[in-house]
Amino acid sequence: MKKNILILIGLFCFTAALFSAEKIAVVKSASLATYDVAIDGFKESILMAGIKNEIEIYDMKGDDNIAKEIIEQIKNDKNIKLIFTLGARASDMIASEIKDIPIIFSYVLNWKNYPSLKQKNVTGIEFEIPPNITLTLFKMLAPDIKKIGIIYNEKNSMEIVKEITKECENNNLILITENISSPSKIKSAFKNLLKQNINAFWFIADPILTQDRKQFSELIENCNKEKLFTITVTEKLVELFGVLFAVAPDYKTIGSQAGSLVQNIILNNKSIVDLPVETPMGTVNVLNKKTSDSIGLTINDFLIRMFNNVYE
Amino acid sequence: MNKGKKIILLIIVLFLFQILYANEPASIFFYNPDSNIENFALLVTNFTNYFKGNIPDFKIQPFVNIETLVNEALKRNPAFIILPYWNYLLLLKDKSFNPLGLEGILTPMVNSNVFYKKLILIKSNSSIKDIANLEGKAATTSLGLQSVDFLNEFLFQDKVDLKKITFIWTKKDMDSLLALKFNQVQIGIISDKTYSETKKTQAAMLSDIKVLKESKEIPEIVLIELKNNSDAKISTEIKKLFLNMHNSDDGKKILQLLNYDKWVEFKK
Repeated sequence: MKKNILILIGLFCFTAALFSAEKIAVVKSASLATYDVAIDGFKESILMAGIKNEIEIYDMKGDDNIAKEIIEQIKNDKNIKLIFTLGARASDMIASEIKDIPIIFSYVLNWKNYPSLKQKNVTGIEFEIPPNITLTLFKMLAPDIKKIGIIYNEKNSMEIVKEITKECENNNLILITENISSPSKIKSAFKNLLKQNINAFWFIADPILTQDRKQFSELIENCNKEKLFTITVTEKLVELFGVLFAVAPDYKTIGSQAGSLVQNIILNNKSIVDLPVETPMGTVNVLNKKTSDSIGLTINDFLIRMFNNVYE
Repeated sequence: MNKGKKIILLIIVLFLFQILYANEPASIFFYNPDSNIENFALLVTNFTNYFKGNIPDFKIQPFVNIETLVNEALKRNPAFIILPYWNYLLLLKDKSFNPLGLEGILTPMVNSNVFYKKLILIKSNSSIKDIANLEGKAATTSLGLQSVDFLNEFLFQDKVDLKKITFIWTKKDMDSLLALKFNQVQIGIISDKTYSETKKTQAAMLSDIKVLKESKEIPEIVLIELKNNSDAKISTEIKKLFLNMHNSDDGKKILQLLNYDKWVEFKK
C-alpha cells in the first residue's frame, strides 16, 4: 500500500514537472517601478491569450556581477523557452550571450545602436513613440502649427530628424532644423529659427540640448516668451520646465505588446525572424495648463479627457 | 505591564488600526476602462469640490484595473463602487461580495440613452470583409483581463475564436485609433462615443477607417451601493447628489469629464 502511494506521488510529480516545464524568463535591468508596470501588462496579456507557462522574474539590480550570475542561471535552465528583457543593460547583456532562445527586448532607447539586438533570435518593442503619432497628437492639440523648429546634433539625432522631416512633409508642415556642435550654440540657433518665423518647437531627446541646464532652461523660457507651441518626449519637462505638451510611451502597453509577441511565438508558432521590432502603441499625454493658457490655446473636453496629467 | 493589560492594549491598537485604515465607507471606488479619462487627479478634484458642501468627508478613488479594485474593496469596505455593467454582473456572482449586499442604484445617461456600443474598426482598404476574417489578426482594446467574455457576449457572439486574435491593451481609445491608423494593428475596438466625438472634432483621423461591426447595446456604468458598508442617511444623500449632478456647476464639471448628461435610476 505504502509503495503504491509512493509510486502515485512520484507519477504526480513527474506529470506536474512535465506540464510546468517550459518557462518564460523576465529579466529587469534594475528594480524600477516602471518595469513592474510593463510586467503587469505582460502577465495580463499572456493570461488573456491562455498561455500557461511559468514566468520567472530576474532582477539585475543595476549590477553587472548579478547580471552575469543571472545569465549563467538562464543558460543552465533548459526549461526557459523565451526571454523578455526590460532596459538596455538586461537586453544587451542577455542578447550578447544567448543566441538560441527567442528574446523580446523593451525599454531600450536607440535600440539600433546595439548590434546584439539585431540578431536573428531577437525582436522587441522600441522605446520611442514614432514621429507620425507624436505629430498627429500635437496637431490635435494645436491645429495652428505651421512651421516647427528643431535644434539637434547630427551625431546624436540624424535618424530621428530625418523621420520627423518626412512626417512633416506628409502633414504639409514646414520643418526648420539647426544642427549644432555644442550647447553654447543653442542661443544663436534659436535666433536663426525665430528669424524663419517658426510657431512651434520640438524638443527631441538629444543630449546636446540638456547637457547645459542653464542653456536648456533659457531655451524653454524663450520658447514660452515667443508663445511657441512646444512638444517633448518627457513628462518631467512639462511638469518642471513648462513645456506645453509631452507624448511618452505607456509602460503597461509595452508589456502587453511583448505579451502579444509571446502569443505569436508560442501559440501561433511564428518564427521570431518573422516578427519585426514594433513601435509602442500606447501613449501617455501630458499638458502644462499654465503654458497653454499663456499662449491662448483653447482645449476642448475631448482633449481634456485624453491627457494623463495636466500640470496647473 | 502584566500580560492581560498587554493583550487589551494590543486589541485596542488593532481596533484603532482597523477603524483608521481598514474601513472606508466614505469612499466611492471607481473603475471604468471605457471612460477614456486619464486625468484621475482632475476627476478626484471635481468630485471633492462637488461633495464638500454636503458630505465633506466623501471622496472618490479611481482604479486603473479591476483586480486591484476588487482586492481593495474587500479590505477597505467602501460604501459605493462605480463599475462597468459587465464587472457589476461578475461581482454579483462573486461569493466574497455576497455578504456585502451589492445593489445597482443609478446609471448615467447620454442623449437620453443609458446604453452605448463597442465598434470594431478596420482600415477602409482592409481585406477583412467579415468578423470571421479576424482570426490571426492583432487588435487593440482598452478593456482588461476580464473582458474576453464581455467582448464575446456583446460583440463577437461566438463567431470568432477570441484566442486566435492577438489583443493588445491600450489605456485609451485614441491609442487604439492611432495604432490602427498607422498600421500597427489591423483591428481597433473602441466605444461609439469616442468614434462620434472623433468624427466631430478630428474627422481626418477617421478618413481611412471604417466600422466593421457594432456591438449589441451595452448598459452604461452602474453606481453600486454596498448596503452593509453604508447607512440609510448617507445612501439617501449620495443618491440625491448624483441625481442632481446636472443642476450645479461643480456637478456639470464631473459629468463633462465623464462624458455623461445626467444620472438616472438603474433598472435591473
